[in-house]
Amino acid sequence: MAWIELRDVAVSSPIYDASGRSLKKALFAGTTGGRIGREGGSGRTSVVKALDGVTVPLAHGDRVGLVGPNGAGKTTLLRVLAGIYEPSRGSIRVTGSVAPLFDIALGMDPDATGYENIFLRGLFLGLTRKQIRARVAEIAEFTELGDFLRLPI
Amino acid sequence: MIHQLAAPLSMHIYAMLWSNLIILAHNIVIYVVVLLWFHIAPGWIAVLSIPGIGLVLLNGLWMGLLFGLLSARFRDIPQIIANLVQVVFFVTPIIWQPEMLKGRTMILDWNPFYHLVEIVRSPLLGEPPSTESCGTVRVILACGWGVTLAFYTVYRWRLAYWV
Repeated sequence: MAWIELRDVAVSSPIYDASGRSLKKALFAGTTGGRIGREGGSGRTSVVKALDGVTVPLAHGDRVGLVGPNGAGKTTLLRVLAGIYEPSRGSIRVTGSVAPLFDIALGMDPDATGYENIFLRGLFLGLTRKQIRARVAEIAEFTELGDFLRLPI
Repeated sequence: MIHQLAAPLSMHIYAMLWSNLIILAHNIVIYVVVLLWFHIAPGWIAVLSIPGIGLVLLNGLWMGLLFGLLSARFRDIPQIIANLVQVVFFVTPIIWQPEMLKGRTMILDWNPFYHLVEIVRSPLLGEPPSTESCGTVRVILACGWGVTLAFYTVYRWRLAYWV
């Protein structure tokens, strides 16, 4: 049975400005004598609290819709579910496999043929070559592309 | 890519190492041509360069992982490394012979890249790599992996927020 359990998950990600991303600035920050020359805003990092205290139990067969305005944290929550963002607090437990679809063309090589891309994508999702080979016919039928799958995408 | 799928991060490093290995395979043809042209036979000792390449790759793996992680956090690191590599290229006997540096071997002994080059190159030239080079490469391997794993234990979860 597949299930997902989020317990008190919080995600806060630091937002660095250009100088916060510089090793040089980070190294020399402690060595410059005075603090006079410090520009406002630089060197300081703001932290965005994208998620806070999310507790969701999801059981097998659940269909869940996420509703919220831009910037509400819908994608962030999905990324936590997919294991891409590790929560800064709380815990997530997933039984089963997660197939995120943020970018449907992910990992595809435009120079490779459709069939080769089926393998590429399958490998990215953690399938073995054998498992993919067993499913190629089914996938090919689903695409409705027929012989065009033999051409580079 | 890192934002799209929770694939192992090392995958990106494997891809990088693999593409560089393919480039090496293309360039090694020149070596074979030179051997044939000048009738040089390095002997079976040349096979020792294969474990040498293996050791270099294992070192490349931790370097890629460590500097990849650091470069995600600090965006000036790729430029700094590009500059350093250029300097190291000239300091390391790649386009010159180690024998040209008599009496100043400190520059060689303390240069990790010299030993990394040496364990692959000297078998190809018909000599077994020196015990110092083999030893140094193993020490680099152990220390490098130690530091890399320590960094990943602490910072790995933050990487997705940095890129």
